Amino acid sequence: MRIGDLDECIERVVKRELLPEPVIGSLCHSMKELLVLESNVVHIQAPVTVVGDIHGQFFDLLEIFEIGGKCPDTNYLFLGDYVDRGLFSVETMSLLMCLKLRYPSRVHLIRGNHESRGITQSYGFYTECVRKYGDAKVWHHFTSMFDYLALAVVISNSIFCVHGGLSPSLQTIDQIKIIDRFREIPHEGPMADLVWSDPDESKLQFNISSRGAGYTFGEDIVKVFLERNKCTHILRAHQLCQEGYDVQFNGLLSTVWSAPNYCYRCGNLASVLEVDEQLNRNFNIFDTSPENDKYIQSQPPSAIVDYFL
Amino acid sequence: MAPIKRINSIADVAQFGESRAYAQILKRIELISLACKGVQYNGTHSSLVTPVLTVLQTLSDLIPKFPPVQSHKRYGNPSYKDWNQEMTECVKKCFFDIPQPNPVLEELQFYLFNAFGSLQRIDYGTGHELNFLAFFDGFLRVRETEADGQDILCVFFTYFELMTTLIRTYNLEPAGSHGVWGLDDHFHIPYIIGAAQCIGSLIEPQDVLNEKKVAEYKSSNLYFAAIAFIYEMKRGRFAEHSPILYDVSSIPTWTKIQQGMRKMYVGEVLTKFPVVQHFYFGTLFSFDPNPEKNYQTF
Repeated sequence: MRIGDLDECIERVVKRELLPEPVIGSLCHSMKELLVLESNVVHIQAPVTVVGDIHGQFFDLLEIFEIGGKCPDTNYLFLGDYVDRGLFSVETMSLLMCLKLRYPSRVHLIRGNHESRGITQSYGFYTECVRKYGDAKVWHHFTSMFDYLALAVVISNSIFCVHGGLSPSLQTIDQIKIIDRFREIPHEGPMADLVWSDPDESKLQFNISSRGAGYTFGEDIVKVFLERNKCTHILRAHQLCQEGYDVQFNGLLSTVWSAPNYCYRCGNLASVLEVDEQLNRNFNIFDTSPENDKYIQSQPPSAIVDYFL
Repeated sequence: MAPIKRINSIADVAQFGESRAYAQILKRIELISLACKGVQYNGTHSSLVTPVLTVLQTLSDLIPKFPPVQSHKRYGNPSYKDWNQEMTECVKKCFFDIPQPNPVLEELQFYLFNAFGSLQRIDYGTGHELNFLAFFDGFLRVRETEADGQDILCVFFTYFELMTTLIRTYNLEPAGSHGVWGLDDHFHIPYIIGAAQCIGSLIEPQDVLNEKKVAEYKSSNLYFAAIAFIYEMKRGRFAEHSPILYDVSSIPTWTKIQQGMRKMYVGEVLTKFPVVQHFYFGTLFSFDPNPEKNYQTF
């Protein structure tokens, strides 16, 4: 797609216009062509601003570009979970996709556990696509593009970034690189663990996760992984944090959460993590923007479900 | 013997749909819907449900013993884990006035342990609510009796109040919430019972949009108790943060709404692997196939 067309798409999406279905199809196609060239683990250089779960909170995403800087003035790494639960997953994914295509070396997207056909059929994105477009075509475009998203990023050979966490099947970053990632997220195995696992400060080793997928992992696992892979820090998202972030294991692991007042009720703060050239980490914390209200003038899409017909 | 996990894959969910347990859950929903039809809660109850109310009151009294800690990073407050552990100890001592020994006591206790949220995840959702329904159903079956509408309302109001207190006190995360695309972050059963209560009453479906009416009905009607909790917890316009409930308010009759809520319970709770994988089976809720064909929908 031409740069001028991408700029026009970005402008329209920011105004919360829905892009036509064939345009989404073409954007997803271009995304696949771009992402298929990326390794499972993408190496990038600081400075970069890292964003955690967004879950369709589109106006909070726009707020991130206000406080963190516009693309391409600021480099961005998004850690997944763009869709589900919020009202504007379509808009969120449309914008992130356009930005990635427009500034491919300045925007990086990795896959979260919600970037999956199975999960989005339960947690809202499928419903939202059908409500906004009348059928599931765009959902098919988006979810087949999700299969191409990278699984991890390493910043300046030092900070290992992933959506969920570590896997008992993966000791080295090189092992991640040989996963066949171009598929739906499986129920178990290394690819599932990367997007589902959580740190647990109260237990060493890997343990069964109460989520029903992935594992919990302790400080010993984190230390060995970092040492073996010559990294200094693990950066991930995937868990709601009251203050918008959490630092665990004596500073070896951070969680960044970027959906303020999650689901309109949690009252939590959100943050983005700014990593500078010297690899200093600074959490830039924000709350829901009161500006949100003024955008919301149109009626939300009708959500009447078939159960009541 | 404590119930065991039987649902380990999507395929097992289909088998669950043909089980005796599934038939029993649907039957209980049918029974409580019928018993509560047109009944408004007046705060009274019979001695039948006193053992259930006593344990819920005891668990509620435990909350002040474990005040939320002030400085913590995660959303859910870690003091909830202390409450949950004490709750388990408490429930282990409960006999619910059932003549002993009775082998199903351990099963009843098991469903109750799991009815108040997850110790590890500090969250609460419809899977936990299903465990409470299972406990109450088992309790009635062991007693070989049925509860009337007022008793059912008293039990579910008391449980709802305990759960909302826990959610407020410890910030229990919505477990597996569908966000704006779901009915409610935590609950479903209050909508089934509450809609049944509204049938034949003067309450109108669009009264949920009127905060004054919501306040008026919330202590006698479970549907409105749940709506009042949403108004308390959520910021923003109702139509925006709760679009499904907003749309339901335009449905003309409560009969239609009640049916829809039950269909939706089947579609969004009982047949969803992420929810029912956590439901366990034993003698009260058997995973064996039901010899009669189960009705999948209402």
